[in-house]
Amino acid sequence: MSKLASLLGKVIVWGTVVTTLVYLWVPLAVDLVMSLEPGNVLRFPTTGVSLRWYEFFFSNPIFHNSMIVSFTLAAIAAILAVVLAIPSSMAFVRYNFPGKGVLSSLFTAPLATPAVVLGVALLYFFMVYFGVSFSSLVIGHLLLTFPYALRTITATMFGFDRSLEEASMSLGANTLKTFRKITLPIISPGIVASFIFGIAVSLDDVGTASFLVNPNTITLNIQLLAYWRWALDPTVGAASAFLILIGVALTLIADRIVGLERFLF
Amino acid sequence: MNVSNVIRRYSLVVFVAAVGVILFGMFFLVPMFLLLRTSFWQYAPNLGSMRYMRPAFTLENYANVLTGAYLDIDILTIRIGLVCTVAAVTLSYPLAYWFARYNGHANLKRFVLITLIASFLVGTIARVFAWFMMLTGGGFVNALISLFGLERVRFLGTELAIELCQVQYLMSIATLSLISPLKNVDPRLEEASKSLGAEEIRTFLNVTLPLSLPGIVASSLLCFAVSVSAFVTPMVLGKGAILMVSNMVYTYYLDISNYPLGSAFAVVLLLTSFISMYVLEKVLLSRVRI
Amino acid sequence: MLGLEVRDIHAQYGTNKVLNGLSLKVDDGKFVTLLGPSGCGKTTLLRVVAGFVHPTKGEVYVKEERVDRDPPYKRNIGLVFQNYALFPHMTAFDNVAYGLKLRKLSKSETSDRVREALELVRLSGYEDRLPRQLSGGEQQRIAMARALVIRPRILLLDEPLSNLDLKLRQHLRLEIKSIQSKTRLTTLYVTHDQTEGLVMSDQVAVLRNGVIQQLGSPTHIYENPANRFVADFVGEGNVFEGRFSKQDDVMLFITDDGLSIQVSEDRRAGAEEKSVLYVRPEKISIGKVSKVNSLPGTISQVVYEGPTARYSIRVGPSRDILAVEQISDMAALRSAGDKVYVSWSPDSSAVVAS
Repeated sequence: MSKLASLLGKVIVWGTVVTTLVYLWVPLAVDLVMSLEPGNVLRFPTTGVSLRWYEFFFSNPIFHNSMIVSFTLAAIAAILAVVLAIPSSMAFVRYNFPGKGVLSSLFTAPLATPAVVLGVALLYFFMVYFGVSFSSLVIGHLLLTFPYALRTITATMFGFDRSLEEASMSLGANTLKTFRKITLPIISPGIVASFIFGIAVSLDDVGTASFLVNPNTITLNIQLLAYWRWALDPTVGAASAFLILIGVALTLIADRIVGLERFLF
Repeated sequence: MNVSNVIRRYSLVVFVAAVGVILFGMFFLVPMFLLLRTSFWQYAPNLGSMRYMRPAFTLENYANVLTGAYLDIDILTIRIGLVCTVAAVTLSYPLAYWFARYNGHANLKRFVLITLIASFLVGTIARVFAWFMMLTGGGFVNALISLFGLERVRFLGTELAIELCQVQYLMSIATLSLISPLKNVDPRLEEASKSLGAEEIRTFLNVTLPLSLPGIVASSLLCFAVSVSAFVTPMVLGKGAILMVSNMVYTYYLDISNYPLGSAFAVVLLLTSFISMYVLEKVLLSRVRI
Repeated sequence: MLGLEVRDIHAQYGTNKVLNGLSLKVDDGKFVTLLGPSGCGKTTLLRVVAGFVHPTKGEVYVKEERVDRDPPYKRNIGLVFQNYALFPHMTAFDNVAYGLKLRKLSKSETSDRVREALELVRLSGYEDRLPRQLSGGEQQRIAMARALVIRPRILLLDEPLSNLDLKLRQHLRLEIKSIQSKTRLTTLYVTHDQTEGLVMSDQVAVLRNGVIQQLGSPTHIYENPANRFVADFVGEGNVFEGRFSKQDDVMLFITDDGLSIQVSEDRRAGAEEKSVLYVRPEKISIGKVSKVNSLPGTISQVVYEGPTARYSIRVGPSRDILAVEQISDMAALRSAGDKVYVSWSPDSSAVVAS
């Protein structure tokens, strides 16, 4: 009896693994396939194979501009997030100070804040003070990416062996030199992982950006959504296939450079 | 006392405090507070000012949000959240268990990990459109269905469509957050259980499952908070027929400029998310921890 | 000249006062071991000298220059850690050269000195290895080379051999000692292993709860422990409580349980009338013939240890004598139940304050 139950258990587990892999990959694969539709309507199976909509997507200036906006925004937000997160996580990991718990919760609060809520709050804030501009978008995305950067780098800091810094100092390197030559190189995988995460989070955002864009500064995601509303053509297929390929590529790069175990929560 | 060490120590703390005050104080707490304040103001479309509202203290926005037609939307949002959470955690637990315990081909594990993280990194837009293409009238699923001679089904514009797409995303989160708690169940406890006579299933039910319960709770609350905040998914896959609270916020803020009502929706959504992630977490975890 | 002097050091971790006014002087070129159980403050003292712990009170002088106000990177110290602390992202060469590069030495001089240091630790040819490609013992030797190559004023070692297995420890102990003799560096060595302390040091300071219990040469500490704690920490022995009594020109020690032990005259000098006597197990001879200070007894337990055997011999209703004998011949191994006499010479006992 128990052998049967044990077997059943194994079937369930392996069955789930297989089902999950299928469930997670099929939509992405279907997207790639259907993006090759030469006609004007998305259908499966495709009526042919054509890169027509890819050409359309890449040659279209509105998508071009919005891609530049998105990538610039992502780069700025991710870099700022990492630069702020490194000293913050050092302070959190190494020292105890009053208000540490509060500050720690505050810094990770954006993770629990729905993107739309953050967007709305920032929109109103910037309408009242400072005015809405590209900077507002940067700040919004900085708030979104900073908690991820902080969490990843803190995890790296926890595992960092302080005696390496002491060895360096005993050999004559002052605090700054020690940080540059010893600490930074050793935590660099964590930094790279944070950066990748930050870029991904920023590129992905729709909820917050929806409220902070204006006709001159529009992100790729929002542009795609807007386009899709007017013209239900396979361009979105090509665009989403492109994003899928980028996402998978980012994952593989991250795996190669820093090892994916870093992304476990 | 070593002066430079003192300066260094305090400069890090001062820096963190500065980040806290400037970035988070000014650009997070203040906007949140303003949001809250706006939710109590009155919508005044006739006022002629650009923002169509008058400072006041009224609860009518919340009354609107929590009753009548909007109540249906709130309930729908929570319903979708619950369904997605249950589905995601139920599917993710075996996967996470497998990942935590399987010691075979490292490449298989790596492939699964890549799958989970890629699901995350491709982005919402890609995912949503991929499911759009899966579920549309001429899409993949319907093509499969008609292969069996069955009638095509209208998926788009139903809750199911939203849930299918959400769960794919939530599975990454749920699995990744369940792997650590499951890994932390000391395999030697399972060995001890088996050595005392309990076979696999019993060991699982009596040892592994209870010990991983805090992880299940934390993971579920996280999934719920994320799923309830869905914005693009209902927008694209709901086709206007299914609206969740995030969509309400968008509509009332940007389409109608009724900031007070939009703010009320936003606050309710924020509270739901916060309560799920912080309050419920503390309450349930304290009951579930050994 | 004094290689190291610490005066009245007070240090604490949080609210925990670890060192309460500790002072120590070490002559230049000498090897001093700080010996004691965990928590006794030995590592704290080392870190005070290194500059990583700030004493709330007190001064530190290295080669008679005051250093306690300097940060660690200005003190020119050689520090060797328990976990080696080799920079994982650098080769052995770069690890050893690290301190030299900071001192702006020319490339050729750096590589000469590094090669010299690697020769000193007998790892020439290992320049391009990464730490993860080295065994524990090799890593520790590279760590030593790195500390020595900068020609520090003082060498500080924090339980450097604790992570290594026995044979390696025995071997490296001697290597470290030989390197130290060659370089004549003042050395402060921290360990909880009493054998290391006895084997390597010119002087041993036994610490307990932040206080130096005794400072002296290894022989002195072993043969004349100042108190019970030191006696038990650096070895083991038989403890007799009682009082001195002179009878017929013979100095005796009458134990509380009625035994009468003959001791040499000099033991009485400087001791209280009521005292504690300590006799090490290897000083007890087991035989069948009655001599001075001899007690009849029965062997109650035999523990065979390879080169030696430990015997517990019951000599009274509440008294077991612990004796250790070398076993050169298996036939000499005694058995439980044997009836024997135990004896020791009058100057084998040490007087310890209790």
